Amino acid sequence: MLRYGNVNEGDKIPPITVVISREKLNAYCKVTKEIVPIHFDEKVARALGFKTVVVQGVFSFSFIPKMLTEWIGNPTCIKEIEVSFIAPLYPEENVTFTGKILRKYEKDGERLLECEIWAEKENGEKIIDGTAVISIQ
Amino acid sequence: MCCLSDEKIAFIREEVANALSRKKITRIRIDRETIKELCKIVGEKGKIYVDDEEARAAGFEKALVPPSIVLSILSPFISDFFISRLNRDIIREIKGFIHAGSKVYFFKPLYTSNEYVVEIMLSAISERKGKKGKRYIVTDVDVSLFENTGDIVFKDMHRVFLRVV
Repeated sequence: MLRYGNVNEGDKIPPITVVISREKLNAYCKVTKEIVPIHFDEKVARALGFKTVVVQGVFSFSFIPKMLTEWIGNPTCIKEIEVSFIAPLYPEENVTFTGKILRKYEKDGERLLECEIWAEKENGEKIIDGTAVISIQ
Repeated sequence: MCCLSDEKIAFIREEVANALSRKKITRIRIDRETIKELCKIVGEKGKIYVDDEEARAAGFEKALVPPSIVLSILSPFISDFFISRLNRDIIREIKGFIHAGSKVYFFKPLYTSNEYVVEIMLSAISERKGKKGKRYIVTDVDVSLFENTGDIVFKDMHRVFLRVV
């Protein structure tokens, strides 16, 4: 488990890179009983101006808590996450999730890290922008 | 591109606000099979998410729901909140539902197969003009998860853009 004394403001969060395949997107739609057609209907997605079906924000969001809990080594370290979805993610695109520590501080006896977090495609286009507050021992 | 008058957009906004104004309260039991499938899709490999013994050895009550999939589990409730409340004429006017952002709070660990109370309510509604003349009704929906004791476990302030032009 990562410790408060072992991190510094400006430290980068180890990135994770994922490609959401069409098979995974289809499986995700099935498990979450997706009803919004832009996530599974090519024709509807194109009619709305998208290149193809769009990966759900909640699906791409999943990799942020995953990245943070794996980095800290504690499944209950996350206090809050705020994200904006700023561009669509399409299946088969390579996307990297990462971030950096903005501030380390103590509040009410708890040691906390405020982090900037983001996700970007191979071409540098950001798809998610946000912040997270993490509890660390 | 179709054109809707400002009056028509104001009417749709009013209809959406009225339809979503009542709080929706429902219950959820997060079953192990769903957790397993979502863990596989997202790549969560921790045994504490699927094995009660491993979770107890790590100091938890039983297998945890990974924080990575909590929003995914709540997603069908949010979609249903919109679809079941909005009438067909209004849904026809909406070109797309776009999840624009979320602010989530994790207050307590979530446990597999425990029952939770889900509360969904509209907290704010506004309008926005986007690029290339697109028009949106912006809805802020609060989704909260409570234990049966009333303790809050998780909250998502979920922003959905309803594209009307």
